[in-house]
Amino acid sequence: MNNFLEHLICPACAGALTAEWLCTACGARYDAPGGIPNLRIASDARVDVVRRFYEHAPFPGYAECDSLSSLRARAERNRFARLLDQAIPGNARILEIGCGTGQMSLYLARADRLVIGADLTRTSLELAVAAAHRFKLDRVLFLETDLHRPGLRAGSFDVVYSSGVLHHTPNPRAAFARIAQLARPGGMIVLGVYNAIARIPHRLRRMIARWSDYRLIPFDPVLRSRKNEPARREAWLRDQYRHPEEHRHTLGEVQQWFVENDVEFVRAYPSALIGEDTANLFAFAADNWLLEGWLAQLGWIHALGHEGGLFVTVGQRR
Amino acid sequence: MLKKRGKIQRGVIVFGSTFGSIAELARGQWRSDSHRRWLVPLAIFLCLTGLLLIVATTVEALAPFIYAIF
Repeated sequence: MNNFLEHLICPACAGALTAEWLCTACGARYDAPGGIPNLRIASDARVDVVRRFYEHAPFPGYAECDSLSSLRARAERNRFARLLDQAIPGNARILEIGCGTGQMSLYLARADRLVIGADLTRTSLELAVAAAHRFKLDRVLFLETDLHRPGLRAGSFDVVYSSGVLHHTPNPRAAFARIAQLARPGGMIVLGVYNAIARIPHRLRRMIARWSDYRLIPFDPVLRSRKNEPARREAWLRDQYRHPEEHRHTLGEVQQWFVENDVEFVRAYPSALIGEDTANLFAFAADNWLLEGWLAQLGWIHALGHEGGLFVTVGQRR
Repeated sequence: MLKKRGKIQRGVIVFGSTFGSIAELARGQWRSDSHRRWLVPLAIFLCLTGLLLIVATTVEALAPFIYAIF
């Protein structure tokens, strides 16, 4: 636990914490039931709605008989996960904001890496901790905290990864400003949010789903692939079709957040350069041309629309 | 340092310069006394083919899942 303590702070005053979860600055006392430190303080009402929403169906959830080898095999089959793992050094300190049930944190927790998975929902974190115990992974810590008042030390992570989270916050731009500070200068930020253009097909699907009272949900391959896993199907259905808070963003918007927070744009995934194929997720893109970016986003309607239009932007903190 | 340009940006620059050349060719052919005005539609056809080729490169392949990995 001492390895992790230096990265944790009191969410109320940013003071250091002792091993007994006592703030050395303001004296606030926290606890860690079930081995999950609770560094969450009272949050915004809209944030609380989202927290309660995920308590009913932790996302993405675990398949029955999931093992470490099956989790790694599933990730290795995925090009994005493979590229992310290859780009992160073996001794990096990684923070996953909005880790849900923790699969990405568990996948990245290899070699000498130190991984902290943070989430708002304890139910999800309990599944993550149970999996970490089952898989015998001890270089990963799961933490209950709100990204708006994080119990995490600013500037102490080599990689900050957050996918599918900021678009569910009341103010994604302000939320990004908070998480950008957590990366060290020169550290990488990997941010996944829904794309305003690529999500159009999903919004049409959702419209049909609502009209038919969720009896008809056409052209959703993820839902189809989970037809024999009711819990995970329900988790996807709720996350994609019934979420109480959702925003969508263009690549230009995210790049503007980067500028505002002293983060240099590295690249987008899929690439915003037409026809470019990258072998290194953290290598700077050859170019960043506005018109080409818009054309690429139009292409993402086809490329990403089947999954809901989530795209990833990589930046480096100056 | 020379700025690297993206594929589409390069394509548009090449296309722009090609368009100028084709217009020059068409004008030259139209004004010349060599009775080669029939080449003008060919020049326009080449121009449209170039445009089509550039548009064709904008079609993205289906990306793997990024969100639903697990």
